[in-house]
Amino acid sequence: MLLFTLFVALSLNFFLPRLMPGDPARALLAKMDAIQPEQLESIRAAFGLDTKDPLALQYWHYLANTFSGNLGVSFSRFPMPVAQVMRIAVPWTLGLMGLCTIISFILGTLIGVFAAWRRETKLASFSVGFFSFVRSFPYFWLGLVFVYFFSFRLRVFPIGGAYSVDATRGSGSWWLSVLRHGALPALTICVTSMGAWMLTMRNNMINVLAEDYITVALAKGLPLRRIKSLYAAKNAILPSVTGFAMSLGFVVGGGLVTEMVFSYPGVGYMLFQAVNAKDYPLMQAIFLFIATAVLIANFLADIAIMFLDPRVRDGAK
Amino acid sequence: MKSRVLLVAALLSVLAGSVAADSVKRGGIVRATSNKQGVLAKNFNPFSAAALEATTGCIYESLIFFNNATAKAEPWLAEKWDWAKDLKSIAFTIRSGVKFSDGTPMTADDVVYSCVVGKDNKALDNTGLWSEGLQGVAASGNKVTFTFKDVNVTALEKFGALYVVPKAIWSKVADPVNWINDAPIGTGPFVLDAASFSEQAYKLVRNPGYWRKGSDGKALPYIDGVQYLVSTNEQVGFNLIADKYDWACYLLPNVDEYVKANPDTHKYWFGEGNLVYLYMNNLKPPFDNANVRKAVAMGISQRDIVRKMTPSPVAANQSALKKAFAPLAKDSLSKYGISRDVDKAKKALEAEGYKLNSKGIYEKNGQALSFKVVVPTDWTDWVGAAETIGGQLKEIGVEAIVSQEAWPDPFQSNLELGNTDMAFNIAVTGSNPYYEFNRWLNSAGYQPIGTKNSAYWNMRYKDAGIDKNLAAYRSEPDPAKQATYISAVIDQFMKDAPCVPLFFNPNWFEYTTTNFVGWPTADEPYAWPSTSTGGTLGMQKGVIFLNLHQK
Repeated sequence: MLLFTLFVALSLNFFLPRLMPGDPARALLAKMDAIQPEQLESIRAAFGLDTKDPLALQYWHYLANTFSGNLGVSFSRFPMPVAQVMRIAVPWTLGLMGLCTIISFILGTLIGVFAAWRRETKLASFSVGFFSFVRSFPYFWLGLVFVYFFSFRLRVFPIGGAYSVDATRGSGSWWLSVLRHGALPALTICVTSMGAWMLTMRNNMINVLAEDYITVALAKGLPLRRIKSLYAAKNAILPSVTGFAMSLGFVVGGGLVTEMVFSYPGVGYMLFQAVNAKDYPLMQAIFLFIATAVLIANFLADIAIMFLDPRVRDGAK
Repeated sequence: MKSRVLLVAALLSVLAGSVAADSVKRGGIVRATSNKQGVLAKNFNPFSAAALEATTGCIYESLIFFNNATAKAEPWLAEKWDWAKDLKSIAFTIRSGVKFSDGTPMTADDVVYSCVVGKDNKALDNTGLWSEGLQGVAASGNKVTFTFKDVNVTALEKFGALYVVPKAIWSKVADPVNWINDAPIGTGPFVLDAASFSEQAYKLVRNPGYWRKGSDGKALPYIDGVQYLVSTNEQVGFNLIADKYDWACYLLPNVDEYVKANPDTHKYWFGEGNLVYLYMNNLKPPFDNANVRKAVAMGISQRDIVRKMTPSPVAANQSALKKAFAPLAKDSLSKYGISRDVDKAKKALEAEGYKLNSKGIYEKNGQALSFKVVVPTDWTDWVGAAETIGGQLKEIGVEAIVSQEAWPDPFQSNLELGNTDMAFNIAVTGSNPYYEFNRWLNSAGYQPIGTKNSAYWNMRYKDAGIDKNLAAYRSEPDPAKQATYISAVIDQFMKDAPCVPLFFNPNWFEYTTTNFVGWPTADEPYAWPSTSTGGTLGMQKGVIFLNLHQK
């Protein structure tokens, strides 16, 4: 099943970009604006766009190449192999988006548990209002506000980029600059995405707390902490786990707007540029990467749910 | 002999700039924005359209320097050039004493090699010389002779895009099209600092053996190096105001804010780039009638259009010429110049038999003058300008409804097939009016409606006289006589008014004199401030870096 889905994704990957209107050579030409039109032919020849092969044959070549690990050459960063372009961008996105998604999931879920368990307190009501409010901030808007105040006005954080270009790569000061550069984008993502996890968790938790078995547990006099974590939270988290897996999968492409605002050299921004430049090979590779990540994350989520939910486990027997 | 003296004088003036002999302060790294966004990928192959900007001008140099701001050719790696009597071949004398950055001397053989690679492999013909009718290249001593099939003196410009690579290295490369050339060896003023390369930035340092000397008698460049940094539209304004960039090439809508932050040093020069014009389909009624086209032109005020755009581009007039070439159209402008005149426009339409209908739109035989003005989706500055035009034309009884189509297709293919009535379009102005009009009006690109024309600057307008004058220009080496031919082209163009020129797309160039001085300006356009890699534009930045020095 996994393999079949992957095959469908691969095929869509090939045909969808080609259905998109536009010519990659011309897209490059327009970007460079004043490039001489004479160069168009030389660009088309270099990209291999002057091929006379029928589409079916091109498709076959594409499949064969992909399975042998050859993702082709990027148009927009010609003649760099796509795999190499991906290797540059993926670590930044995984590092920033991956960490932020995990952090905001954990924090959001914990706050959600608290907000449901102690929902009569003022702090809990306030947190619901607060997170509903910040959740509705658009990423890019909050990002720009942060850049304006913290980087431009107060000058406590760098304006953009992923690290200081003047530090030696790998040195202590370089790693420090990575943290400093990542702080604002991370804050933007965490603040805006935490709310969703928090609210989902709180609502699920409240539903679960109304269940009979919680009342029974309370009547039996079980310790409250045990009821909160093992009886209520463990059941309430099930829908969130699937959502979390999905969002982990989409981490790869999801950072687009944030990466644009902060000029962060990640996959999302690269995808945006690839689409603009009609860079088919790069687009295909990024979509393939996203599809694979989503599939694997879902697979892992299924396994996790099997452990968390005895009904799934027993039903399988 | 005289022309040679002039050439040397021109060369000196390029380098002298405003630098006085004893006041040059050396050193410093210039920080400039890359024309690439997101992740930088190593590519220093001068034959590749996706090469990084430093490849041309900084690392590799061209045979001649063609100044895109003034359309003047100046000696560079070639000391001089001579056309043969029949104007079918041109001989370049290669400068002696020029070395590649690995210490080997540059020779005529290297020049021949750099051109010949494009002969059999179209992907390497980035000058377009071979498709322009070049038939052969031969070296003899320090001379390289290029032979053409037909007479075409305008081919000179293309040698400004012939970047010379060392044959010893390139002839061993198996696949020069796909080679990223990550340790580039050229004749240019800078070499790559390979260790500095990352996905966000890279640095060039001075080539100590560079062949050219500064006004202080020591080898150029004055600056220690250049750092290219990636940026984004969102970032560039913040960084410019904070003096983090010396040179940026981005659209800056609030450019006044940038200047206000430090009016003494924050500057910009948004020079006239490609022409944006109101396209009318000359083969389709009612725009097959020159008087209707002229009436439309009378309804339009270019000045009001650009005033509503931020930042304002330079407005065009009916001659389609940049300011620098305005004298060429002096007579034609007094004869055929058009400025906004609502009454005159209405009278012109009435003279053609049009009558106002109940909606206030002119109509003839049941056909109202109501059209879609097509602009590419989300090109907001054009959409805004088109809306302004819609308002202006309404006053002369012509309805122009703004309609957006995705770019490049279907917008472009509709234009190429002749389906569009009225649209915004671009004419590549190149460096001089010949280039602009030859691309735009030469009937070689003319096709009837329904047949795709090869390029996107064809209005389905042609004129035998224009063809004749363009051909005469190509075979005329004397600039004064060339000017009369191009003036004749402009005259006919304005007489027929096949379109309405609107404004020139700005060339985005923001710079600061906080750290470095010697920038090109509108008054001293010793080079065109472009960050493009390709063509003659590639050389411009190298010349600019040779003029910059610390304050």
